[in-house]
Amino acid sequence: MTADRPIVFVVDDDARVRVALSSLLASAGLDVAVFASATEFLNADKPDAPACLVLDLELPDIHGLELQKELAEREAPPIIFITGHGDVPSSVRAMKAGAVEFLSKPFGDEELLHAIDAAIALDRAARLKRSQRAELARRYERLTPREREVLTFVVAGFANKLTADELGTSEITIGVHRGQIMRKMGARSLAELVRFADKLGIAPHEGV
Amino acid sequence: MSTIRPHTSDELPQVRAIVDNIPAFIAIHNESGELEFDNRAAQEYHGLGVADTKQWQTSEVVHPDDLPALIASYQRALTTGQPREIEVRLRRADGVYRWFHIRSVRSSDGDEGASRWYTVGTEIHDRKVADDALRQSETFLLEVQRLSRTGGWRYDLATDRVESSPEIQRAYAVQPGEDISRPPFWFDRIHPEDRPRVQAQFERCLLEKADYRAGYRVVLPDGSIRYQYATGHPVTNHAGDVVEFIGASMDMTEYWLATTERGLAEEALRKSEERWRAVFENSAIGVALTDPSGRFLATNSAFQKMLGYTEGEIGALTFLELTHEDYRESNWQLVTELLEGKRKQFQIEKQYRRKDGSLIWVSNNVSLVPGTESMPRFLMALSEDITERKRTEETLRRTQAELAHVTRVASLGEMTASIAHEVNQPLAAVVANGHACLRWLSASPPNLPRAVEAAERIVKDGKDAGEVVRRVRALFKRTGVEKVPLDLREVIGEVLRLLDSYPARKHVSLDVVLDSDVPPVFADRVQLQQLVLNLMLNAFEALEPVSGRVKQLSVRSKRANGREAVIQVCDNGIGLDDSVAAFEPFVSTKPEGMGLGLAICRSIVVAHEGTLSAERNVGFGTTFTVTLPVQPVASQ
Repeated sequence: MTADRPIVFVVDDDARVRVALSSLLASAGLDVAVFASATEFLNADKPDAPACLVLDLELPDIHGLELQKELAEREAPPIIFITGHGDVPSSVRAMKAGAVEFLSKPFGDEELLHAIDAAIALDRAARLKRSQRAELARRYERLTPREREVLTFVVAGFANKLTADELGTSEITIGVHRGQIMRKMGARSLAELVRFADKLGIAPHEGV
Repeated sequence: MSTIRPHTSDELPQVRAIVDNIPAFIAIHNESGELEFDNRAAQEYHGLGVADTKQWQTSEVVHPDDLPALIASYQRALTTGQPREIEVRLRRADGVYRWFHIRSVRSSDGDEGASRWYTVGTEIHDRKVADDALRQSETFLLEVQRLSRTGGWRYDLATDRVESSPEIQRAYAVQPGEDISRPPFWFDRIHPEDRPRVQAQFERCLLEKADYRAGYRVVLPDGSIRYQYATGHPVTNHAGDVVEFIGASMDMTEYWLATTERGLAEEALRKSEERWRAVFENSAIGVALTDPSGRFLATNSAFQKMLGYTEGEIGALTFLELTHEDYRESNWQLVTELLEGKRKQFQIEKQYRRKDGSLIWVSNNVSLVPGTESMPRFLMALSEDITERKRTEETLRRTQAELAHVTRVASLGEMTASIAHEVNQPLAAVVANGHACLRWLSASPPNLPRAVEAAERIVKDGKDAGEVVRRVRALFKRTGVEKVPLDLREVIGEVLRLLDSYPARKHVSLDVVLDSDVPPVFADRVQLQQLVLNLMLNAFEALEPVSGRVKQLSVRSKRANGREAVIQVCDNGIGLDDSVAAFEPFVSTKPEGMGLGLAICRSIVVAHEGTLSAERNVGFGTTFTVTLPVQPVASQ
C-alpha cells in the first residue's frame, strides 16, 4: 500500500450498512476497511496513509462521541458521523468536537463522498504539517545547549552585543553560535528561523 | 142437556138448586169480563150480591197481590179463547183472604152468537198453606245444611243408587259429568289411606244393621283435602231386612284444623307451604324447577317475565330449548355431573333466548333437590338477569382495550427513536447499495458482477425495512384479543428486535437467557409483546438516572413447577418505593409517567390467568416476574 493512496475506515455494527458502504466507496475508487465495533477499530493495524473515519454514532461497545474524544488525543483521521437517529444535540456536540460531517441515515452518495474528500484533504494537510514539524524537531535536536540558549535571544530580536553581555561572553562567540544555529536549522534567513522556532514552540527570551 | 141460562125465567129450579148447592164457586162472565152470574156459595163467601162482585177488577174481592196476574190471565184467555187456570186469593166476608183454584172455559150460547166464560172456583187454601210451609221448611233445611256444612245422603240397596243433597255434593266438589248416583264415586273421593277402613266399616254396618259412623279425609279434584264426619242409619222393612241407609256427612275441616294437634301441625305446614309459595312467586330472582330431563315443572313469575313466556308455555319446554346453542353442551355436561353426584351445585353464566327472540344474559345457580318417597328428585335453578352487568363489563373491557391501545401508542412515542433507527439502518444500506450499483454500471467498463451484488442487497435490505414496519404495526394496531399457543422465545425475541438499539443508546448491558424447554403459553401475541415491551421500557427508564455503576438489564424466560412459564425482567436501576402501589393506575415514580404501564401489564396478565409481581432486589433495582400457565401437553 503506497503511502499516498487514501483509505476510508468504516465503523458500524450493522453488517448491511458495512457491506453497502464498502461497495459504494469501492465503486468510487476508494480503499475501505470496515470494523463492527470501536474496539475492533482501535486494535487494528492501520496503514500510514491519508485516511478518514466513517463512524456510526451508536455502537454497541463505545458511544461514537466517546470514541471521538478518545481519538482526539491521538493523531487520528478526521471523523464523519453517520446515525440512524439524527438527534440534534448529538450532532452539535460532534461538530463542536471537530467532526467533518454529521450524516443522517439514509444519505446520498454525493454527500458522503464530498465529506470523505474533504476529510482526506484535511488529513493530508495534517499529515504534512506533522511531518514538517518532525523534521524541524530533528534539526533542533542537533543544537548544543548553548546554541539552544542563544536561539531564544535571536528569535527575540536581541543584537549580538546585547546577547553577549547577557550571557557573559564575547560578541564574536555569539556570532559563531548564530552561524551554527542558522546552518543546523537550515534557515535561509532570520525571518525563517523565527518561523521555525515558532513552529517548534520555542519561547523567545523575554526582557533584559 | 140444557144449558144454564142465568137470570132467565125459564131456568129449571133443579138446576138452580144444583148450582147453588155445589161446594164450589160458579160464575159466568161475558166477553168483556163482567160478572153476569155467581152462585150462592160464592155470594155467601163474599157476603156480597152480583152487583158488588161485578166490580171485582177494582174492588178488593181479589187479593191486590194476585190481581195483576188474574187480569193478565183473563186478557190472555180472551185473546186466545183457551181455557185458563190460576190460583188466587179471594176475600171472605170476614175480610180474610183464602186461596182458590180458578178454572174457566169459554162457550157460545148458540142463537145470540155471544160467548161467555164459565168459571169454577175451588177453595185450596189449606193445601196451599201446607205446601208453602213445606217449601219453607225445605229451604230452611237446605240453609241449615249449608250453614252446618252437613249434607244428607240416602243409599238404596235394591237399586244400588245413592241420593245426595246439594250440600254434600258441594262438599265433595262434584264436577259436571260425574256419575254421583253410584257408591264408587263417593268412595273414590276418600283419601287412599282412609278408603279401605271406611269401606270396611260401611260394609260391616250393612251386615250388622248397625249405625254407621266414620271420619275420613276427602281429596278434592284440585288436590286439597277436606275432613268429613259421616253418620248413617239402616232402615229395615217389615221383614227386618235393611232396604236403605240414610245418613248425613259433615265437613269438619275448619273445626279439625282449628282444634286438633295434627290439624294445627298440618295447618302450620300448609301456611308454611303457602309462605314458601309466596316467596317462590314473589321472588325478584327467577326460580325454575325442572325434572332430570330438563323439562320445567314449575317456574315463578320472575322467571316467566324474564323469558317472556306464560307459565303454560314454559311448561311445554325444556331449559335446553331456551338456552343459546353455544351453551347447551357445557350446560348439559354440568347437569349430568350434578345428576351423577359429581357436584353438589354449579353456577353458570349463559344466554337465554326470550320468546320474542332477543337474547338475555343470566347467571344461574343450579342444585339438585333429592327426591323423597312421595316426590321425585328435581333440579332447582335460581336465575338472575345479568344482561345489564354484562353490558357494563363489555363496555369496561372495550375501555380497557382502548386504554391499552393508548398506552401502546404512548410507548410508540417513547420508541420513535428506536423505530427510526430500525428502519433507517436498512434504508441507509438500500440507498448506499443503490448508489454503488449505479456507479458500478456507469464505470467503464461497467462492473456488472458487483452491480448485481449491490442490486441483490437492495432487495434484501428493502425487505428488512418492510419487516420492521410490519412488526411496529402489529404492535400498535387495534386488534381483538386472539389467544393462540405462543413460544415465549419468539414473543420476547420480537420485542428485543424492536428495542435493538436501546442497550447501546442507553448504555445498558443487556443479558438475555431464554430457555428452550418452556412449553407454549396460550396467549394473545400483541398483548404479550405489549407486556414484555412495557416491562423492558420500564426497566430502561429505571436505569436512566443511574451513574457510577454498570447499568444492567436481564430478561429471562423459563419453566417453573412444570405447569408455568415465567418471564423475569430484572434491572439494577432506581427501585420501586411501593411494589404493590406500582400496579395501580396513575401511580408513577416517573415525573412524566402516566402510571398506566404497569396497570396495563397487570390487566394483561390477569386476562391470561397469570400473576405479575415486583420485588426489590438485594442490591439495586427491581425484578418483575410474570407467571403464565402453559398449555397442557394433551391439547397441543
